[in-house]
Amino acid sequence: MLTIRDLHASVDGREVLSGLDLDVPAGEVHALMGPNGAGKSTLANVLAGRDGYDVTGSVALDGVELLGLAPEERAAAGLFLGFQHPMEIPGVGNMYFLRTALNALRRARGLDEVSAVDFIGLARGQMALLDMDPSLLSRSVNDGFSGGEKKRNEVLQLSLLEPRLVVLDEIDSGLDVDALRLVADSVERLRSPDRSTVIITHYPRMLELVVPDRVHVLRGGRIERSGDRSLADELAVAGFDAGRPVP
Amino acid sequence: MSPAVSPTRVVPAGPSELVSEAEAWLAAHGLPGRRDEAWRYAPVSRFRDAVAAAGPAPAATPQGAALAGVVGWHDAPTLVLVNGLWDEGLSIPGRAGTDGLLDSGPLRGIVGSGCVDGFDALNRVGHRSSALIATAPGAAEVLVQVVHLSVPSAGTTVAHPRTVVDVAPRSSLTLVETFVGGDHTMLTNAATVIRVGEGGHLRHHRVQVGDPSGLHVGHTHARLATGATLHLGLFELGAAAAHHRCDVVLAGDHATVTAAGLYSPGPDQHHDTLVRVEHAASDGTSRQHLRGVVADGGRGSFSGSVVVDAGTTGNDASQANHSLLLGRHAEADSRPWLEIHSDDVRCSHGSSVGRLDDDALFYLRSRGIDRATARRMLIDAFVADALGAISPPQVATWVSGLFDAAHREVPR
Repeated sequence: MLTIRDLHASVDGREVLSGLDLDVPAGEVHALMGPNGAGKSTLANVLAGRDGYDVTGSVALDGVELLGLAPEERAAAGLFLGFQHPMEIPGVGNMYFLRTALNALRRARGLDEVSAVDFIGLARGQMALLDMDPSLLSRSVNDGFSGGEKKRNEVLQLSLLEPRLVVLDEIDSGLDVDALRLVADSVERLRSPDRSTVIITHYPRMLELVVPDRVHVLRGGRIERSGDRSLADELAVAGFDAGRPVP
Repeated sequence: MSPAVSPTRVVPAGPSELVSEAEAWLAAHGLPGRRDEAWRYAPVSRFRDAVAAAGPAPAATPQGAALAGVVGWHDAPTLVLVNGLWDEGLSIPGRAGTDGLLDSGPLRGIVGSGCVDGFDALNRVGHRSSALIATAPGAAEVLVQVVHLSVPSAGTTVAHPRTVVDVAPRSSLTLVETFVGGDHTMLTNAATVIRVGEGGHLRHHRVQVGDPSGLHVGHTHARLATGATLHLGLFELGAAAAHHRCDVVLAGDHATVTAAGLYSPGPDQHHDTLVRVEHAASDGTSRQHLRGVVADGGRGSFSGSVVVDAGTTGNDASQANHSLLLGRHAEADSRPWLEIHSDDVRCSHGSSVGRLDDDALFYLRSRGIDRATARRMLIDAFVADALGAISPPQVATWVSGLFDAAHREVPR
């Protein structure tokens, strides 16, 4: 599903990703861990097509090369990035935003647009699952939302937009235990044979609730170690320096 | 029962003494130049050159099509003036029994004395008729429209459209005043004179949507009596160069004025708006909330001033001006001016100039929304306050449509 080869990314001449390779097969959930500054968020931004990075290498989603595509084209190709810090956009209604996004993707996929009435029903159903206050739909996008509400709004978008590849950048940061459980339940619920998920985190907490098929440690701009879920347990106990040669 | 609107009429040019006063003023002061503070941000030489080269715009018969695209008729009595002269055929009369001219006595009272600048004086000298809208005392809310159409002819011409609005005590009026037409050979030099009587209420939307190559100078003078309220919606959406100055005097206690609106110069367009509010009595409230959306290569400026006279108490004035620049070659200027001669007053002001937020743009696009639509959504969010304040809804929809058309390079 997702195949990353020799990915390099630099900002202002400073290399942050240094030849990263990663494969995430369809239906799997992978965790990407690593210390601060390892390049985790850079990877998320580069995958989604944020400006400001010099990028080389290859990122293919279902055989479609993503590098060189605009952010909206990547979304149409099936990519969804859950933001660590979702943007507040005063003046843009949340419902209008969500429906515009859904219909843009539906058009790209050759499907009919969803009417305003049908959309409200759809959104309310998903919001109930996330225990979200329905009034958040009529507010501006993330404007004045609490940290937990913002993250739930990310997961709401994820639920509505039905991407093929989900990248969650620190979706667990700033969440209390109950909110974390709701978010984790949603990620589990959205697990399917034709959807892959990459959970970026530096806390093992999330991975107790969403069990990953593979765990990778990103360090120095590349994948340093990979393993099964036991690697997450090991990191939880010993930290990211465990198993590294002593300098 | 008295009609809601008594006259929606056109009266001949103002009394001769008003004209001769203005002529004397013009002879003494001439036209303004770059050194005049109020014209600092305006391309005043372009306006001066047009006046120097121009003859008066002749009477003209426009094609109906010239109006169809931009004028919203709003199902309201409508006065159409072409080059400052009433066009009866295009106008839509008010209800039966709404005749009755005001004579020049009250007109003189409304106009007052003293010209703000040379272009203001020139309008008084050069205008050939005035659209007059007056309500009867106590009349219920009614919607009226005045359309000023500028039609070019051979050579450079100047039109001097003039509107006089007299809102009687305790009556209520919504007026949409629209400026359309013109081209690069034409200066539209407009003036609007407003009086709101005791407890009267006027909602005045001034919409300048002239041809993008044209020149526009406008002056609005408003005087509010005790307990009167005035909501000014100021929209600069057309012309290559436009300068609009609005002077409001809160002459009676407990009067309220809100000047809100939007200027949106496109590439190579220049919109300059000035609002000056004078608190000449006590317990008044004034709000100035102007927003600018400036396209790449465009220039927008706002000068807002508040004067609180000595001897007044309990006045409350605020001013906010925010501009959005849509390109590296967009330019915005914002100039607040407070002149306070009273200790018992509350004043505030704020301004900002910014660009579309790249992070917000990326966020929207990452959800599959194309760049043009994402930009449009952020611009709409920025202008929502200015457009959302328009009432009634059909006028709001119409102005939003004009704004969209002015920024057509960004499809919805």
